[in-house]
Amino acid sequence: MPGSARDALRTIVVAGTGPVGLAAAIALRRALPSSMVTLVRTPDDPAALADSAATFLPQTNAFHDRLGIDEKGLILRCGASHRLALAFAGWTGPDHTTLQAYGAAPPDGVDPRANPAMAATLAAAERFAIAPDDPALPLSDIDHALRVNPEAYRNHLAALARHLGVVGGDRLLRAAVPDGKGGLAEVVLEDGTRIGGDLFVDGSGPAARLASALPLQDREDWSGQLPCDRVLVARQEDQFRLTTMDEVAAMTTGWRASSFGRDGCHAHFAFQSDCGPDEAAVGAAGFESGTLVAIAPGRRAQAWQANVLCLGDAAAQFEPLHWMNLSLAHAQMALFLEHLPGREDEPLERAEYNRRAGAMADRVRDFIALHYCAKHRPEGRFWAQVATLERSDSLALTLAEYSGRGRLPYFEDDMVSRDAWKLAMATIGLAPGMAPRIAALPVASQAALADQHKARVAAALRQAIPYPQWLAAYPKAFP
Amino acid sequence: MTQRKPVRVMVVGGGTAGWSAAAALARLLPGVAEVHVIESADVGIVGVGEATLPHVRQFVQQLGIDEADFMRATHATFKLGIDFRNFGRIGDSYIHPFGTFGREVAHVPFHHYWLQCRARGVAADIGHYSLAVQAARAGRFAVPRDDDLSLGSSYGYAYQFDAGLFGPYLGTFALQHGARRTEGTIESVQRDPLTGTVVSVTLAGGAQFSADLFIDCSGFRSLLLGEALDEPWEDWSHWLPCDRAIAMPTASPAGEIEPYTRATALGAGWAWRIPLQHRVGNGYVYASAFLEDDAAVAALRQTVQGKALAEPRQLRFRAGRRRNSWVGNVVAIGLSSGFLEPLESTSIYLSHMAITRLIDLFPIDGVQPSGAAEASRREFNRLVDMEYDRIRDFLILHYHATTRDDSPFWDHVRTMTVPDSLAEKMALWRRTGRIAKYGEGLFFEPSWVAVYLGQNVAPERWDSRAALPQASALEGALARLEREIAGLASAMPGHRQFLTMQAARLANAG
Ligand SMILES: Cc1cc2nc3c(=O)[nH]c(=O)nc-3n(C[C@H](O)[C@H](O)[C@H](O)COP(=O)(O)OP(=O)(O)OC[C@H]3O[C@@H](n4cnc5c(N)ncnc54)[C@H](O)[C@@H]3O)c2cc1C
Repeated sequence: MPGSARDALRTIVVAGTGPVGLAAAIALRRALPSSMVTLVRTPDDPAALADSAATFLPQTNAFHDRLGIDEKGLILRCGASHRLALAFAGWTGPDHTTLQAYGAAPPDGVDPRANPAMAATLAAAERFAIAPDDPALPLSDIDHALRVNPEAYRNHLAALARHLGVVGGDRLLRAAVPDGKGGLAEVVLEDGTRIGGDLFVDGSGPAARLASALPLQDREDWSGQLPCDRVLVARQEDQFRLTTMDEVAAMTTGWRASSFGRDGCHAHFAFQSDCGPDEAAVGAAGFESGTLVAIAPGRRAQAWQANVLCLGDAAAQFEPLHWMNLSLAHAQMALFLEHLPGREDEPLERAEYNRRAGAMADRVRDFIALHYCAKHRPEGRFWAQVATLERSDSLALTLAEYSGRGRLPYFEDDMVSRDAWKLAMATIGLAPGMAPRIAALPVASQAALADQHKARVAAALRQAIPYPQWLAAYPKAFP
Repeated sequence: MTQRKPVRVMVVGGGTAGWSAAAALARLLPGVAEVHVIESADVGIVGVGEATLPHVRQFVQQLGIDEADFMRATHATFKLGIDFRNFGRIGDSYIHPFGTFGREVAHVPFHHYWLQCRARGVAADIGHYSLAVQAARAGRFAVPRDDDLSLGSSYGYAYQFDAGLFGPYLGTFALQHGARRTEGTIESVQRDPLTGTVVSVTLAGGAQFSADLFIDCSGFRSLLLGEALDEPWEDWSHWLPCDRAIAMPTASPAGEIEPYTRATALGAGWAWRIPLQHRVGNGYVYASAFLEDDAAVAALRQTVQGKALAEPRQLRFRAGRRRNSWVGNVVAIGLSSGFLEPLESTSIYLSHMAITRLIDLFPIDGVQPSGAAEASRREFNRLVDMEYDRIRDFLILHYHATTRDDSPFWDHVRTMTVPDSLAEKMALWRRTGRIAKYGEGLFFEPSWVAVYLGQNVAPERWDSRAALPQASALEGALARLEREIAGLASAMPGHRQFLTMQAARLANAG
């Protein structure tokens, strides 16, 4: 049989030394230990929301495993703490708070609005546990996300990258040089050094300092579906809380997210510039200081062009509700590794990646947009504006099927779990429609489903311990 | 909780599709759906359709039917895959298994490593790295283990059963769960002159029955969707030219029962061989544009082994589907909705898939022309379309991926233009060894790999990471895997022995 393995990428240039660029460098170096992976610094951009993330999602844990980053290292070296749920305050009306938890949603036939998920109950009780693998055990229904100190996390990744033999990272990019074939020939560094590559990864944030040199710049614009185009990024070191719950509060002018790390509160205030002057909105946010950044919600139509792959904010930019920016970058990185190219260009493979990576991003967009679909919204110009947003066909179908019969249609490459979709529906106060199979159950059996769920939650709650106590015991419990 | 009025469902037809629908609706939607089946002894059932896919197990299980009992009643055997003979080239044979090949290493699918070893001349046929293939070839069977990590769980199975017994088995079950049955031949269909919805059907003799929702399981005739509603037909016969079949059962040979279906390519199509407990089902699926009927009968007689148990019977069909399966208050399920030839045993799967979707989307508040029921219809049709399209491409691949030039039929399918969706998949495979992935539907990566490699469509290049391990280490790992699989296969009981043990367990339990 003829044929051969493709020639492996020999030289890979990664622009951006934030978590996106570092993770890409680590993943590529692990996949191709014989390749030369060079990091190139780009100016830190506060608008690169994937890079400034101080917290992750549950699916990040598996990706970290794959990179060779364990939770223990993050807890001991990056000040990691655990989140089980996110409280949405005032989102569906004043004085009304709903918890959106991680892990399993209540089973079909049980309304998650009236019967919170297990992780929500634990979070409300400030208790914690690590989910066991055995699905028979009640606690297996929970899942958690980590928060970290961003600087420590970045150093942690950088150390791992160095340890694996990734080079560079100290010199700034000056220019990207096109190759005349739709891709790049080389990059030029601040000291004049030129580095060529088989593959260039652009993790430089929204400025896309490599990809902006390419001929194709088509974008899918999401501004009709996601309202926020300004984010105020702030850190409040005095706001210290040891908790398994973070918070998103609806304000009249936008929303404000607070993630309580062990290094203080990492806050975002997101709003829309059309609703009034930025200063007024910022004033209403209640922060003493912060960095205001502009974002253009949308994604590159083709995140992978010729020999240039965009990841993170270079590929997709959107408001950081649920802090999904970095997780999307991770999921797309995993997808890229599935389609890892050789040295020669294969347009069909790129098309396949772009198709799937695009679908993945669009579903993240839908998930965030879902949060604006509540029937009852807060007062204010921002929310009046929100009421006029468009809905993608895929989101419209998801909403209709869920409210019609409690069903979530399947979408290819959706990185958001079905449980998460379900729980988000509850957050915005949307009731699941009656599923035909549930309608066919006797009323007593329907009620029993909710009782079983409650009993399982109660059993789990007894096995969990207060979070501060859990964390204090950690170094001893996991030597 | 408000008391809903049950939706009156009429199932038109008592073949495999009709009784499957009636059984599932009666069992899973009691009180929500009131099921009435009308079937005609004069018309009869199509009487073929004996090889299935692993999904059929879920279908049967969710109804709470005991596997051993159902297998005994339908003289069923186990199926681990399909042995395709003479497809890519005369003399070739490969099994498309219900299972995987090897294990992925460092997130790279096994077949890339296999291609690497193959190029060095140190790999056995890819079937040696599939437990399903090895068990099938050895005539052995055991139920897969259920721990995800072991090779013992790397396969699935389906059944081969008597097409004349499966429907009646489900019929008894449906009647036990409250379905009603009327025997008679429908002569006319009444529709509301304003809305066009179907109101009732009238049988020969004048009895008239009405319902809210009609499930058209009337077979190829498509009595409601095709005849009454005249839903347009999308024809695919330019890609799948086979339009006739000759079926003829034969006596079981002595010896082991093959735990798989055989598909043997012939001059103008292919022949199936489906071994059951008590007999063997055979048939020749062919294209009438390329072969006379008499010649088809002669060819089948020549192919079969063992004594014929009945005269050859002819069936006619065409490849394609009705544009929409659900129109107004009529849902077509089974042959009435469309047909893809039985090369990969997909037809009963398509019926069961449609039934499961219908149950998930069931209009519990009745079938109004718009509103909730309209959403059900749109979603149902979207899902059915997707399944048909994917299966269609996979079937076309079996014909197109060939070097056969020994007959006008094979010349035609080898040189025809295939759908773009398939052409792109094939080009991607050839250039990179990658399979275009999807998560819903039928036929995932191992299935495509089996057919591509089995029909000599080899990629020119594959994943660069397959060249990373040291040649000797990779060769050693492959050899160990092959031995491990051979060991597991030879530890399984023979298929016949397994069936005997199963029957004995059932007898003891009863
Ligand atoms: C050659 C061939 C081989 C096949 N092999 C396979 C296979 O290996 N695997 C697989 O999964 N599928 C296979 N199939 C498909 C399989 O046979 C069908 O999917 C399955 O049998 C379902 O058929 P049905 O119930 O839709 O139609 P039928 O079996 O034709 O049933 C139609 C029903 O409608 C009733 N009816 C019709 N008209 C009237 C009327 N006017 N009044 C009242 N009642 C009426 C009939 O009495 C009958 O009960 C094969 C098909 C063919 C043609």
